[in-house]
This record gives sequence, structure tokens and C-alpha cells, in this order.
Amino acid sequence: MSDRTPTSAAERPATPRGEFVAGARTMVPFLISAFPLGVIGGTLGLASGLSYLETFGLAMVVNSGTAQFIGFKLIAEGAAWPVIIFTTLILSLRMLIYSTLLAPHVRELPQRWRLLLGFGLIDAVFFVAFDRIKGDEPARRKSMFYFGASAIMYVNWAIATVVGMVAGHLLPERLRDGLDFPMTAVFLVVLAGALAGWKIWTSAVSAGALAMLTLGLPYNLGLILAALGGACVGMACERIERRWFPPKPADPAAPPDPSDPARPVEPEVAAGAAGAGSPPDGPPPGAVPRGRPGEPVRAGDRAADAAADVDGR
Amino acid sequence: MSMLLLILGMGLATFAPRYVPLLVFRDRELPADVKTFLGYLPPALLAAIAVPSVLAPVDNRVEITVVTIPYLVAGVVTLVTGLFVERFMIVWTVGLAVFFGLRWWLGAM
Repeated sequence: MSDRTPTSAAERPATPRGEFVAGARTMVPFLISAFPLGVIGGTLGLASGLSYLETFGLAMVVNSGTAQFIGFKLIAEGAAWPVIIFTTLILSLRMLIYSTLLAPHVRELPQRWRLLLGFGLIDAVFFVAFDRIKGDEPARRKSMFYFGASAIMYVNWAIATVVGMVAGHLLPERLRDGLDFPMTAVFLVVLAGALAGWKIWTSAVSAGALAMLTLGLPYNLGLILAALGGACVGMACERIERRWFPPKPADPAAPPDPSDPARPVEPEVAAGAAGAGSPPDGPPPGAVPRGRPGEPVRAGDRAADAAADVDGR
Repeated sequence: MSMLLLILGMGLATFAPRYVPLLVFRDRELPADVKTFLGYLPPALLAAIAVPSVLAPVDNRVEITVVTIPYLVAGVVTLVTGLFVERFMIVWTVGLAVFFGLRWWLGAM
């Protein structure tokens, strides 16, 4: 790759360290919005009955705000472990999308680097660093930018978690009784941010109704059924929209065919919904709680612009 | 010990979707339908978690008591506020204020 013709980015005397720092610096707006969520996470972890070590360990191991928050809630409710793990998995599935987009650009990296790349993948980092990753620069150099962004988010989340645990320790006893609500509120805020358009509304309302109907099932199994059912309803809405409200055909020669696999996914849906997950998750937790679902995308765009400035482009 | 295993299991569950495509898929893109489905999952899951927490906060039963009213009212307020206000912390704080305010007012705390 060293024989590549100079690009604007390559002209810069970029050291790996410089790239790392640039990536970290680009994340500043995200650090600020993630920090309070990390604090909340630390407090709620203790309130859910976990020890300090478990709260901190869970936050650091999952590196996903959404997964962390939901884990706390389900652990507090005494949900069965397969349900907790499966729920975590579902919430992380949007990472498949990011990861498949990253894959072709980092293929020449050593296995160990890709392990780290995967671990550090959170919504905000993806939105900020993807522009760089898909560029022409040598894979090792551009991935340093990614690592800088992801490392600073991780450290930020760790500090915030500790601060939250200290704060939780100081919390008056009588407040702890209603402490499941703050967590529920986190999910509601993230959900509200994701509710854009009738299809997502229909899907979410169906999931909520299904969850109510399946409350009697053991091990919180209803949760999984309701989520899968709600997503299926969303898919059905997509079909309905394609069939009855086809978008203005781009090329009249090809009338919309609902079964056409090549048909593009509505990007707003994927992006908005994905963002939702992430806010809590957000933490490096990337995920969700960090911001409104729609927001990370927009913020990401802005951040990407900032990154472009860093490039001198 | 079992908590340690659970945490490691959750870690694996969040790590696998991030890493497996970097390991295996390589150049392949996810099918459009799969992407769309994955996009719908997080909001559906959040709704599946949040709705019962608001409508049936105690013992999974739907009932109207001084204990459950704050969940119901504050839950609706949080969601509706979230539809109009973008800042996470503002919406969250409003929801909590309503919740604890009502609890205090109704004497459930």
C-alpha cells in the first residue's frame, strides 16, 4: 500500500499516533453526551442489586450502553440467563450492519487488530470513523483513527460508570424503591427517538401489545416473542407500503416488485432504528442510551464533517 | 460465579455480531430484507420491555393503585416528551421528576 499515489490525507505527515489522537478528538461531542448515560448506568447497576465489581465488569465487558441497561433490568427481575443473553444479542444485531460495511475495508489487517476493531465498534464510532475507513489510505493507518475514537469512548464510559457508582452509593435509601422507573425511562426516551413513521410505530405498538399478552410466560420469554413479532409486523408494513404506496419509480421500466431483493432498504428506517438501539447502548456503550436514535446519525454526519476537516479536506 | 458467566455470556452476545462479519462475510453485503428486519428489532424490543414496565409495573398485573399511577403517568409523559424534545437528559429528567413527584404527592413513598 505504500506505493499508493498521495491523496490529500496521505500528504499529511500522519503518524499512527497522530491518527489516534485525531480520532479521539473527533469524539468530543459524543463524550459529552455519553457521560451522563454512563453515570446513570453505574447508579442503576448498583440499584439493580449488582456489586460494584459486577456493575463495572458488565459495563466494560459488553461495551454497549443498551445491552448494559437491559442487562441490569432483566437481572433485577430475575430473568432466566438464556433470555438475558438472547435479548442482548438481539439488541446488538444492528452491529452486523456496521460490521459488514467495515469488513471489506479492513480485510488486510491482522486478526488481532480486527478483534479489537470489533470489540470497539459502537454506533458513534462507526458513524464518525466509517468515512475514514472506507477511504484509500493504508488500512493500518486509517484504523488508528478508528481505534482512537473507540478507545476514548471506552475510557469515558469507564470513568462515567465509576462516577455513577459513587453517586448511587450516596443515594437516599427511600429513593431506591422506585428505581426501576429511571431505567424504564431510559428505554422510553430511546424508543421515542426511534418512532419515526407509521411503520416503526405500528411495529413498536404491536411489540408492546404482544409483550402485554405474553406477560404470563415464564423466564421473560414473552419479551423475545414480542420483539420478534413486532419486527415481523414492521416487515409486513414494508410489504404493504411497497405494494400499495410504491415510491415514484426511478426507472419506469422496472415497476416496483415487492419481492425484488435488489430493492433498496429505506435508509431512514435502518438508520433511525439502528440509532435507537444505540443510545443506551450506546456506550461504548454505544448504543443506545446515548442519544436519540435519530440523533446519532445526524450527529455522526456532523462529526464526519469534522473528521473531514481534520483530514484537511 | 454464575454472575461472572452471565456477564461473559452477554459480552459474547454483543461481541459476536460486531466481529463475525469481520471474520467471515468479508465482501458480502447483508440482504436488504435482513437489514430491514434488523432495523425494526431494536424499537420493537424496547417497546416490548417498556410497555409492560409502564402498564403493569407491579407483579405483571394491570391495576390502578397509588403505586402504579406514577408509572403510568410518568411513562406516558416521558414517551410523549421524547417525541418532541431531542435532548436525552432533558426528557429523562422530566420523566423522573413527574414520577417521583407523583409518588411523593400520592404518598406512596
